[in-house]
Amino acid sequence: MSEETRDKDGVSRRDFLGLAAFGTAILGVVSSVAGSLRYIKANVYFEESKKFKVGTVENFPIGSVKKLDDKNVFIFSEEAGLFAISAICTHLGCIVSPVDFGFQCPCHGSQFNHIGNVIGGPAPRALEWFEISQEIDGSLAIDTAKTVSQGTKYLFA
Amino acid sequence: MGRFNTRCKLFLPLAGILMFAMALVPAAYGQEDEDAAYDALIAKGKAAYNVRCALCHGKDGDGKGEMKSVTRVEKTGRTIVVTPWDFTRAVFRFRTTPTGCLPSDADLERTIRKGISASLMPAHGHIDGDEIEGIIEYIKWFSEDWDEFDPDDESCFPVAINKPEFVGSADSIARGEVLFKKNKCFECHGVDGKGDGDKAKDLKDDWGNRILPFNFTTGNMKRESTAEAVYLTLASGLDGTAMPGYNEAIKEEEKWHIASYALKLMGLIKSEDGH
Amino acid sequence: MNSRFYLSLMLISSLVLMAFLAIAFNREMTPVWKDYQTEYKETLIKNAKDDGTRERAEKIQVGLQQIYIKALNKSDRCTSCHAGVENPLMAAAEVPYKQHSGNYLKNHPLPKFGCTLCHRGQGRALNIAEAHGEEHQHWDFPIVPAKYIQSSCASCHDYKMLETEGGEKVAKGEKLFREKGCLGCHKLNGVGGALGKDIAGIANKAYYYFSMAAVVGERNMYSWIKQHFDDPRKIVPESQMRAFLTDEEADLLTTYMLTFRTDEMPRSYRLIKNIDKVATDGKSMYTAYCSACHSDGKTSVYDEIFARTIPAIRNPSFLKTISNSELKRIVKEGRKGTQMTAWKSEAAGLTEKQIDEIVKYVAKDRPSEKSRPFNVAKIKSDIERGAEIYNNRCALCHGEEGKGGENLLGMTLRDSALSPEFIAITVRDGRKGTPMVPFGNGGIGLSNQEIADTVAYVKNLTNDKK
Repeated sequence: MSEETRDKDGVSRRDFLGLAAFGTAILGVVSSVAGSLRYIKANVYFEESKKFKVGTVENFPIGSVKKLDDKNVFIFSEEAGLFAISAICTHLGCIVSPVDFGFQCPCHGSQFNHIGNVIGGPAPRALEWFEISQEIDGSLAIDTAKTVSQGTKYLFA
Repeated sequence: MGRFNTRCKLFLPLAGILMFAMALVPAAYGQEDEDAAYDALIAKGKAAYNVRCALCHGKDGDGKGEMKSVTRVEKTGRTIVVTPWDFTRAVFRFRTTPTGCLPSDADLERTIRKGISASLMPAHGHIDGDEIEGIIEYIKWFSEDWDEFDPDDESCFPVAINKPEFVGSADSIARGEVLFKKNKCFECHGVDGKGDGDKAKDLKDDWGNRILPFNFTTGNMKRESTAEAVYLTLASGLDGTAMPGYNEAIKEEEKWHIASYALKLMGLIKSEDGH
Repeated sequence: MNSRFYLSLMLISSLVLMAFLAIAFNREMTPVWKDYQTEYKETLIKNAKDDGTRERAEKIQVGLQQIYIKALNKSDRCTSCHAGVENPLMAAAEVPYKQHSGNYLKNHPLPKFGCTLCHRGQGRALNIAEAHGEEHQHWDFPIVPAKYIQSSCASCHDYKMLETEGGEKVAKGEKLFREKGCLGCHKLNGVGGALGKDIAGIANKAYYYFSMAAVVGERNMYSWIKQHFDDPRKIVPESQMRAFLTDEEADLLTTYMLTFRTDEMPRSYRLIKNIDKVATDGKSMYTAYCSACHSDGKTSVYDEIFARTIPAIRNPSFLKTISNSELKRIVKEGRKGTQMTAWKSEAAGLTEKQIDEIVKYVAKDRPSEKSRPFNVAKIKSDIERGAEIYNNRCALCHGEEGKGGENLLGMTLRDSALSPEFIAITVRDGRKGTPMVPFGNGGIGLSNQEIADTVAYVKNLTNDKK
């Protein structure tokens, strides 16, 4: 072993093995970091799904407002389309109720207009709007994990 | 037998043949002794019969005793109503004699002593031998057919039983199973031997009463649960029932194979050796 | 040389390790549900009738699906493979893409009920064998076979409703359970005989509770229950169970037995309008508790399973000789040395009032005229003479020890509570309708003195503790 064995193009076996070891180590570190990062976001959570079905378009005739009590969401149906507004007050999380001017919170008197903007009381932000999508079976689903900008209305066939 | 001989009173009409008569005397006295003994036997038999048998088989041997019938429920759920045997018909199932023959005295004695547990007939093994002998003789009074019965007729001699070594072996059981199918035993006894074959529901005995084929899985045959009993049943049939004798139809060796298979169906072969 | 050897050893082992890593990586990245969902998505795209549907199908994201139900603390991931359960477009598709049959999901929305609440199985598992619990004995409650699935309905619904609204099998099973007299030997919720096992909560018993050795096919609770109806002694060799059922009846009873669960539904899930009331009239109770052995009670029957004769308890000639209070005592205390259970509340769980009702029903056909009295006490008896008569006349059917038993027609006589007068009257008058013939003057002709001797001997047998 006194003399180094060399390839034709001049890489010694020692160099090759050294490089291979280094490369493998890098690969290992990279994949373990990537794997750890992947685990930060869980596939599923042990909580009720944020996305839920609300039935077909026929359930929401134009001009109607529906409140889903167990989900705390208002669904409005207009000519321009459907939209979903959160019923949870942005102040301390009480459930607002619909009134003439928009929404009123029973806890500390926060007031919101028809599209959820604050018009009075301690509430710091406007009520949230949620994404509405159509499922493969034709039914509509609201995803409270996905907020959309005010005024986003959806039209479905 | 004694009772068919005319009672002979000893008269001596002719003194001239005194010598001849003298020669006759010992024989005739013997005859009279035999007659008296026979009468005593019948009297004993009648008394024993009335105490021990008449409850079920009736005072006249017609099977219409006070008890009427007994009901038995098998493990598989089949219900059997057993009525006592009618001796006036002079037809018997548990014989060692060929089909159509009357049973030997030994056959009757065996049944009386061992009973028929599957029919709930109690065993009478504890009673005196001459009492049983009396009962056997008395039973013969119930039908005239016994008058014509000649115990010396060779065609009614008991079937010989020579149980071969192979009975109970795995090979014999397998052959028996094939024969069980080939001879269509399953038509009445069912494929699993549960007595539920297709023909089972309309079986009748010779007098038109509904009867049921034997359910092997009970493991309790009326005529003992042995290979010999199966062999005898095949060889001499169960006269009066729907089970015919197969003495000619099934070869000697085959009967024993079927007996092996029957033992297996009855659960009497614990380990299946032979392989 | 040496270092070369170690170097190559290290090379080989690292290659092997890498291969393992690659396999693990591959397995992790290609779970079976991913294939199913991809297939599901592609089928939808291929079969889309209009652009809107195709567009929506293309938007489906393949990923692990889960239904979490807070009220039950359940998380079912079944929809990861069974992606089309809610999709009417998949009505005609194959399992696992197929839409759920019937309109059950309409009244039982997935987010509230999930899957395993009714179907059982392991909701969190992500491969087929573990999720279904097939041949996987470490999950005690595998998928319920379709033919028994109605058992789950009874967790929330009452039988009156189930009868007419889609639960007819389990409703029929419930009826059958009472008609066949299962409770005669099995205890359920505190009531029932002691010959068999207590069957409360049987549907939540672990795999190892059941003796699976003789079970054919899939070895699980469902097969065990069904097959123990088909042939009780094949599954449990020492069983004394009397189950004479058709295949269909066995399935119905299995369905009903699977309702004996210990996991109670939260109140908000239960839809029991009128709590099921078990009938408490004499006839219904006789059917439920007594008929399995005594059938209609009109004739005595020799039973191969019990290896003894079962008495005819509704036979008029028996009732003539016995009073209601004596009958009640037997029902309450049972009969030692036989299979007759003690039905008092401390044992089989029937109340005093219920037993009274049963006795009233049993004694319904008692003739108005009573048996001629037999004052045994007045006669001075001779036990030795009695022994002779007993062994000659009685032992044939009742056995030499007076215990009855295998292939014997007679009952046991060794019940110390049977009064001498009861025995004497029975010997004298017999028991019409059973094999017990009259031995007195009207029958065999034993004198009163002889009968009294025999009775003395029988009572003596009882005292002798053999």
